Amino acid sequence: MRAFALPLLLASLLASVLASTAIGSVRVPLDTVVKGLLGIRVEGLASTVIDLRLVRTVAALLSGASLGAAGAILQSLFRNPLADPFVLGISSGSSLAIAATLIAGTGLGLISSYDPQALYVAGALGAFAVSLAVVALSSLVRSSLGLVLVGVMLGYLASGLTTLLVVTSDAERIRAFTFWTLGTFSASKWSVLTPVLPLALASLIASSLVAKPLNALLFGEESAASMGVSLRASRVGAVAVSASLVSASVVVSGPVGFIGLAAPHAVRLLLRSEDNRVIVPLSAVFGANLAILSDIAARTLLSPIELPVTAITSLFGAPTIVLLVLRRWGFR
Amino acid sequence: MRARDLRIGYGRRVVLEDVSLEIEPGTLTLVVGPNAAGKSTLLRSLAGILRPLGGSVLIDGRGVHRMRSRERARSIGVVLTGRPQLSEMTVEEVVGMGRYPWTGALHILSRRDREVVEWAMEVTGTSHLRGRRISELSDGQLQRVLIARALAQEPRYLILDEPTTHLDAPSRIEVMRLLRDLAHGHGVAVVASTHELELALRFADRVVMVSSGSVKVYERPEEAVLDPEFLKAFSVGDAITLSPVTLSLEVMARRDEGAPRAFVVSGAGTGPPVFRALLRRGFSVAAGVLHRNDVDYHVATSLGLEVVGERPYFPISDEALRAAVELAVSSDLIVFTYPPIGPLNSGNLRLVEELVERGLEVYGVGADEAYGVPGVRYVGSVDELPLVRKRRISVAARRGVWSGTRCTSSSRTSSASSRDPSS
Repeated sequence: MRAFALPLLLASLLASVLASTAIGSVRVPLDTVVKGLLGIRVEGLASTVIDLRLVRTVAALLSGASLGAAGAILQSLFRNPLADPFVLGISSGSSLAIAATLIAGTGLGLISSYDPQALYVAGALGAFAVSLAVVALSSLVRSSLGLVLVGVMLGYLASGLTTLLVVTSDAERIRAFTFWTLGTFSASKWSVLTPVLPLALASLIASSLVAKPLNALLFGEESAASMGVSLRASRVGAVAVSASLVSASVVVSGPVGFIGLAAPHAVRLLLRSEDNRVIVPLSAVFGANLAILSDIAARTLLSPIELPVTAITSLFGAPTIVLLVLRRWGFR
Repeated sequence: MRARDLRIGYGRRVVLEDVSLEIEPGTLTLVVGPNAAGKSTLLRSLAGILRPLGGSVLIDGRGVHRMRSRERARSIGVVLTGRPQLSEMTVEEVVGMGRYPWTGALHILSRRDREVVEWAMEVTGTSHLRGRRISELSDGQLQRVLIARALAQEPRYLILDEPTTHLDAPSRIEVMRLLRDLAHGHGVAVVASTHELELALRFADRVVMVSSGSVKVYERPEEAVLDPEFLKAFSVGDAITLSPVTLSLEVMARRDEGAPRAFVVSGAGTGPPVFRALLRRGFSVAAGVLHRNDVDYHVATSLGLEVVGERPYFPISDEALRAAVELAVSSDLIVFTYPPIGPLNSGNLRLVEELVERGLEVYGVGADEAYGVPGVRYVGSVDELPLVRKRRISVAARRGVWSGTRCTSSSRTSSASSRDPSS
């Protein structure tokens, strides 16, 4: 299974990218889609449709991949199967920082409303801050469920503050970041996507470097230290990488839930492995897949009404959590 | 490795003070002590995981706690307690993780790394498990795999916290053997804690005792055994004895004044099962006459029984016989266990004859009635004895008039008279 997992996942990722571009209110034939994706000129309406769908597909891909990798890192770091950027409030913290930066920045005329790199940095700092808060609290709250509860509350706190900011700022700007509180791929623009893409890519590459200490941490902290892990450095590294990944995802699509939770579990089931050197990158691929498929569902299920993608991800995410809780704490 | 004036503990709580010890390559040092005495704390400090409150641990003159973790991991391997959460990992992967301090950022194993992993699995006897998942291993197998993982670090020092806890008896011995082989055969300095005293004394080259805030080092286990302080650290109200000869622990029988009393004539290993069976049934047991080099004597004294002893390799003296008779006649039950009889202990046969002659009931217990002794009633197993709790058995039923107490008082004179002709 291990040998087939990567090609299998990549192939299905390609298929979902194609499907995502082809499916919608206007059907585009598959060959036209392929042409469009390969950069061959496509005439008429199809060109616009392909471009529109491609933006959100790439957004979903970037966001899903980042969340999948971040989820895998967080689950391993906290040794908690319920960890996920959304569940632990890290995504919400990131979007709060972004909203605050947007309001403060544009209010003071420091940044334009869509300076994706500035927003990314702000988002990363917000995610990092919340992650550190969770790390600090995790030493106080010993149980996995307690940690999740703390995370969820931090998330509510952050999104409450975000809503407060949105409501009290002037109407003009509300439109600009309502989606950062919601989580959707429908508002994606190349202007936001293009600058963030290399950042996300760099973070994904960095994520494969934290896999080694994360593997050692499976033996427990003291054993890991005895094996040569520098505990603080590896913890800070893992938190920083996951914060950077989460921020890239939030800048592009706002806080999208549960992809970071489900993807690593699916990959672990698929591979029957705990090796983060494989789990982390494959979770990224699986997460991208999941995000794209969720997006397709979001815009076709009740077409022409478009659902926020979090509504879809919650449909599989929330049951996953319940199932994990039931399984772990003895109910069968 | 040398520890100097260590003061260790957590925060303000000092667990151990004035710890100085040296760990030599090629030796197995076992750290023993009651639970919660600070064994784990000591090991963690030696391993460099726990920063000491004072003093230092040096390897080749360099402080263990000042080394970078990677560098430290190349000279010290550590195996801690607890089952790690890596159920889906294979044995080979886990042992491969031991190469951590030697591999690059992606932990890709080189040929040399693989060779070391192979070696580590081979010495620990885990090669055949390589493809197994951790969740499928028994506790004993897992422990050996974790030791292999630590060995894959190619350490000069191997430190293990309670490596035999939670293991069944064969696995415990297997792990101890492995540790000794690693020390003697591969020159690793092995330091392990255990709360199993008997195991420690049998396997250790050196014994370190941790108790009541301090550490004592015995260069040989034999020294530890002879130190009364050593045993005291483990004993619960003097209830435990440790035989310096057999190194086995024995729980002393509780003395109960009101208990029925049994006297056992035994020798050469025939006595101990009977002693134990009688103790189990609530008897207060005495034995005699036993040569002090007889295994029965060892067991009886370890159990805290009252024993009439005789000098080794001397025929049983009249003095001893007299004492034995005195003990026997004041007992509620007399048991004979058919020891082999030779010139030196033939006195015991005379003792039994004497007791029978006095009209006391002597019961024979043993797998078979090895030889007949006139007057002894062979009953086979202890279960067949007329065991009556809390009630004196009338041992002199035939004469009818002798109660236990009167028997005692009259015995003195009669035993004195009977002694003379026999000597």
